[in-house]
Amino acid sequence: MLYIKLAWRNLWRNRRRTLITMVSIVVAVLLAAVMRSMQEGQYEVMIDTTVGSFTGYIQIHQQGYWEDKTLDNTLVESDSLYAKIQQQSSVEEAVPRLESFALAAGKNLSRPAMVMGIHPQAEQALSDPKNRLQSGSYLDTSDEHSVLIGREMIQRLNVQVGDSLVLIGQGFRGQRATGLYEIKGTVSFPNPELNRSIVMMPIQTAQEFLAAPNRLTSISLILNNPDNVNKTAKDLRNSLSPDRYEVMTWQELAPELVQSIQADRGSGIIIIMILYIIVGFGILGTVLMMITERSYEFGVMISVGTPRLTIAAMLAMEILLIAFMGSGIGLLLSIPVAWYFNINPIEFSGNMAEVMESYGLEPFLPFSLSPEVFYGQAIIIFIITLVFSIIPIVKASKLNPVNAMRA
Amino acid sequence: MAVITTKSVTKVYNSDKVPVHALRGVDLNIEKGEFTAIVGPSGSGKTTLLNIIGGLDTPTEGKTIVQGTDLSTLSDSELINFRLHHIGFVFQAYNLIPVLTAVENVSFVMQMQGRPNKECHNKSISLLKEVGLEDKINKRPSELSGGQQQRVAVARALASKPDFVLADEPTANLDSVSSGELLDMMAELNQKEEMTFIFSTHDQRVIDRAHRVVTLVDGKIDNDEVRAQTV
Ligand SMILES: Nc1ncnc2c1ncn2[C@@H]1O[C@H](COP(=O)(O)OP(=O)(O)O)[C@@H](O)[C@H]1O
Ligand SMILES: [Mg+2]
Repeated sequence: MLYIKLAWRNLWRNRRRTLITMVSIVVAVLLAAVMRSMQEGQYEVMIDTTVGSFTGYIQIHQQGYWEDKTLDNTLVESDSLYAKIQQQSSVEEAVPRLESFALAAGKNLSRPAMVMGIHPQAEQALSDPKNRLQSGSYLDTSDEHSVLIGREMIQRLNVQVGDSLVLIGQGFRGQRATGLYEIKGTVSFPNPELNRSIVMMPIQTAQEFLAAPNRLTSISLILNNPDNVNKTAKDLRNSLSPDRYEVMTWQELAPELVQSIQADRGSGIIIIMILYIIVGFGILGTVLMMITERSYEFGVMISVGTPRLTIAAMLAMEILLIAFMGSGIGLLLSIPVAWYFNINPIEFSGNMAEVMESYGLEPFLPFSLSPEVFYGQAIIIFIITLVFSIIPIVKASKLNPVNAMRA
Repeated sequence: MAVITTKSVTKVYNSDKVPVHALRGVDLNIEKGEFTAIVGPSGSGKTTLLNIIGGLDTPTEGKTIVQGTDLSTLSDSELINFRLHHIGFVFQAYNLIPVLTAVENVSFVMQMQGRPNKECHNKSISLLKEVGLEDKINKRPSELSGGQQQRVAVARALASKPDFVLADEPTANLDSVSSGELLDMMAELNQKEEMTFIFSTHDQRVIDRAHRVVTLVDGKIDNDEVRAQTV
C-alpha cells in the first residue's frame, strides 16, 4: 500500500502537469460520451420510428412469406399459435396484421393503396393510429366497414372524412376482392410513403375483403426489452414448427436500417478514435516526463533496496489515478448533459426538419442514456492507460541505479 | 571474520572508445565497527569501489564478499533484497524521496523489509532524535537544509539495521560546520551502536576524523593507515 501513497503524492508534485493531463482526459471523455449519446439517441429514434412503431421487434409469418409477399403465403390465426407466443415472458403484445395492395377509388380519382388490416385494440401498442389521428375518429370494432387513410392519401383522392372509398384488388388464391367503406378518419405517420398510400381497416373487415378468413400476413411482437430480441426469436423458432412459420427479428426485417446505423456509428467511432489518439499522446508525454525527470530518485530507491516491481507499480498507479480521475470526472459531467438532452430533445426546424421527415423521422433528437455509451469511454481510457503502463514497467525493470545516479 | 572483503577487484569501463581502468586490483578487508575513510583525488575510483562493495555495480574481475556472501552469486532481485537487509547507503545529495516526510523516509526501508507499521514509526522517530532532528520529523526534504537532509539519510541508512553503512562523499555539498556536525554524529553512532561506516571524501577535515584512512590513487590502494582514535 506504500506505493499507493507514493503514487498519490507524486501526482500532486507537478500539480499543473497532472491537472492538464487530467483535464484533457475529462474533455475527451465528455466530448466522446456526449457525441456517442447523441448518435445512439438518433439510432434509438430511428429504430423506434420503424421498429418500435411499425415493424415490431419480431415478426412471425407463414414460412416463405418474406421471400414472396402474397396472400397465398399467409398464416392461419389459431389459439395454439397465440398460446405459444404468449409463453415467451418477454412478449408484451402480439399484433396481428393482414396486408395487401389494392386500388383505392374516391368519387373521381383512384390511387394505389397499401391495405392494412389491423386489430383496433392491439395495434395501439404498435403503430398506434389512434394517437396519430389527424381528423375523424378511430375504429371501434374489428368488423366495422370503415377505414382510416393516410393524411396525404385523402388529398390525393380528393375526398373527405365521411365519404365512401371503394377498394378493388385481388384476394386469397386470386379471388376477386372489392369493397365499399366509409372513411372514418385520417392518420399521420412520420413516414411519408405511408401517408401517401395507407388504408387501415379492422382485421376482420380486411379478411372479408381479401377473402382470407382467419388469415394473417404477420404477427408483430412487442417486447418488454429490445435487448431480448435474439433470445426470444430463438426460443420461438424452437417452439414453432419451422416449416410452417418463419420468425424474423427486426434486424432481419430492416437490414438497411441496421446497415445505415452501423455505417454512421463507424464514422462516429473514427472521430472518437482520433480524439483519443490525441489524448493518448498527451498521456504518453506526461508518462515519459514523469519517468525521465525522476531517474535519479528511482536510482536511489533501487539502491536502498526498493524492488523494481514496487517502482513499476507506483508509476502505473500514478497513470491509472490520472486516467481514472479524468475519465470519472468526464463521465460525471457527461451524464447530466445527456440526461438534459434526453428529457429536452433537440428540436430541428426548417430544412433539417424537412430532411428528417422525408426520411420518416420525427424532427426531434433525444440523447441516449444507454449505459454502454458512458462506460465505453471509461474502458477506452483504461485500455490506453494500461498500454502506457508498460512503459514504466519496462523502464523500472531496466533502470541501472549507478547510471541513473551519475547523470 | 571481516564484514567486507574485496579480492583483486578491477573495474574497466568500456563505455567510451578508450577503456577506463577505474580500479586496478583492490584488496581490502573491513572489520566490524571500523570507521573508515576512502580518500583520493577525484577520479581515483572511490565511487566505483563503494558501488562495488554496495552491490550496485559489478567488478570486471575479482570478488566482493559481504558477511560471507559472494555478491557475484546473487541475481539482480536478490541483490536488491540483500542491500535492503544488509547495507545502508548515504549518497552525496538528493538521498530522500521528495514526497515523503523525514519520518516517512526513514520508515520507508523498514516498511520495505516488511516490519509492522507501528515499529517502523517508533523506530524512525527515535532514530531522528538520535540524529538531532526530533523537531523536523514531519518536514519534507525540500523544507530541510542540506545538512539536515544528510542526517535524515544517515537515520534511514541505520533504520534497516544494516551490517555497515556506505557513504559516498556525504559532505560534498555541505558547508564546513554542517560537515563537522554530520561527521561527529556518524562517529558517535559508530561508537554507541558499533555501526561500521565506510565513507569517501577528499575533505581534509573529514579525513582527520576517520580511524582508518585508505588512500586510492589511480584505482589502486596507495596507503592504508590506522590512526589513534582522537574522539
Ligand atoms: N559509468 C562509467 N563509465 C565510464 N567511466 C566511468 C564510469 N564511472 C566512472 N568512470 C571513470 O572511472 C574513473 C573513476 O571514477 P570514480 O569512481 O567516480 O572516481 P571518484 O569517485 O574517486 O571521483 C574515472 O576516470 C571516471 O571517469
Ligand atoms: Mg566519486
